Amino acid sequence: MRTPLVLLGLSSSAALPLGAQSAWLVGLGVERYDQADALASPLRYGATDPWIAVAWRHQGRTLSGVAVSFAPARLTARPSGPGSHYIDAWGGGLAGHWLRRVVGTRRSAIHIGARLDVFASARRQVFRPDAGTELYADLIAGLEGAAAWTWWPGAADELRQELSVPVMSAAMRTPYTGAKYLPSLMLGGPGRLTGIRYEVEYTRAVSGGLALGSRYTFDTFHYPDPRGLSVVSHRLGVLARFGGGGRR
Amino acid sequence: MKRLLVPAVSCLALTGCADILLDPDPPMDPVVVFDELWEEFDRYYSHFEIKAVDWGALREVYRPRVTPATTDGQLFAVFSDLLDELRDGHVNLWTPFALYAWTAWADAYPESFAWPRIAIGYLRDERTAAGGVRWGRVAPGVGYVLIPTFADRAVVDGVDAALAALSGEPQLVLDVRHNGGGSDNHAVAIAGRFADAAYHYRTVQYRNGPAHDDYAVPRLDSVRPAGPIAYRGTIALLTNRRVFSAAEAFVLAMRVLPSVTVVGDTTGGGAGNPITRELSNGWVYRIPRWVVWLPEGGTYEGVGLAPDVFVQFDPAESAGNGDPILDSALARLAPQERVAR
Repeated sequence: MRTPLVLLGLSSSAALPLGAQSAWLVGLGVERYDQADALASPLRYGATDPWIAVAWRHQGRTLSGVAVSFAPARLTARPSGPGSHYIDAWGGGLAGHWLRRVVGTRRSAIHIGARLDVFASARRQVFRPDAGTELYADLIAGLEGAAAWTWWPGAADELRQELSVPVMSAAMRTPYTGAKYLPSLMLGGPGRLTGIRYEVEYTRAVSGGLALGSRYTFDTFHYPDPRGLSVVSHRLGVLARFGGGGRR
Repeated sequence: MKRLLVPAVSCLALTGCADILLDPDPPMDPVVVFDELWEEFDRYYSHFEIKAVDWGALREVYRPRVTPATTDGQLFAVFSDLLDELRDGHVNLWTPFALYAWTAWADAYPESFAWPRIAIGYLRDERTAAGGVRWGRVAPGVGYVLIPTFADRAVVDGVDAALAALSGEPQLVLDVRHNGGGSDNHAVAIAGRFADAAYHYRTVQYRNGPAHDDYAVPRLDSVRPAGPIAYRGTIALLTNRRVFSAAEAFVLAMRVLPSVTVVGDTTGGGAGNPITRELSNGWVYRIPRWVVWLPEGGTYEGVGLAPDVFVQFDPAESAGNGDPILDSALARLAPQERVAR
């Protein structure tokens, strides 16, 4: 849920320079999200819920773009008696990336660069009706090193894989970090946020301005302070790309 | 297309890794659950120092009573005994079969309140308003407003409605007896109806570190004039032992006004602002997270706020239908102001 859609690697321009191009992408699908958040509960919480994302991409000599995503979820824990507890989460992400082609042929290209990923989540943890609820929020920002490999197996087909790891991060969490409903800022350096993000995407151009495809994203990270937040996320969905090339 | 198999296999391999990357749920072992509760209080509870509670020593006393064979009922009994040591009305434990609450802050004292006596013996032109607010007149020129809770935002609207009708009365009785609290925000918003200017009424500090005396930077809380009605008459504020939590914040905010006299019994003494959390067996508990300091120093946690005029009574034992606290308030409201109306 942390990771917004990232848009890169769809470019045929890496192998066949066509000049600067821009495109919009719309994606939607389902996400399996599991968390172990010691600040919220000793229990693991998880959910399978929809996500939607919109992205804008510019590709020329470099690949760059921004994406926003939204993924509401109702997280539940293992059954623990009547009136199971749950967490309603409304999470949104904003990501930007900048990568530069380092290797390119007519059939494939490798890009290396960085991406900045900011994820904010508002949460309502609901206990039994007479015990009330807790409201809190997370804001996690990470600067990641990223590498992408793009492969064009056919004139209309494109396969992209991307791997990224956090280099520097900052997190702001409330309320359990010392001040209820007051933000407690924790700045983290290299190694504070650990994880890995892997994305694979396949698209096929169906007309001059439209390409359809699918995407799978695996994202896991661990933030150690103050008590550990670990997340594993799988996203699977379909996407449509408008503009920015098409059938080659 | 064989290369497509690589990402496809990668996807399949990754979908099963949540159980590898995330710690499993803790076992529902009573000893583990005991440690969870003890550690969470050790980490977050804000009143150890104020109440001189040796939490570490209590662990040595109570943990040996828990074994893997301990039943839920037995574990609840151990937790109840352990939490009783804190003497804190904001500490609760909910289980599917029982609720723990320390209620001696109120149970050990006379009730000092009986609504039927007021409704029958004093109140005229009784009205009800949002949030359970009841209002009317208890003497010529003396309005009366009962604020039973601060749990819902509607209570602010209810008080506004009452003040709109009673703003012409030079004297007012505000009755918060049996008000167990709710939201400080609502309480302070209502106090703002009686304020001429902003003023400091309390200082709060959150527990923010592993040591029991680790507190965040003090935060000065103020009351600011607010609301559609600005009441500037003389006020008697009625309290008893069942005034607790946010209702005590209201008393704190009101008692510093020169126009206010607090009449009744000492309040319950609960200032914790608790958070709700859960144990791995699904039980839910609350932990107070802050300390509140009076403007003049000291705290009322576990002590309560003393009134300006001390009166208490037990409706079950006192004869007649009178309300000694309300009587005392009416006697002290200046008669000349009533005449002036």
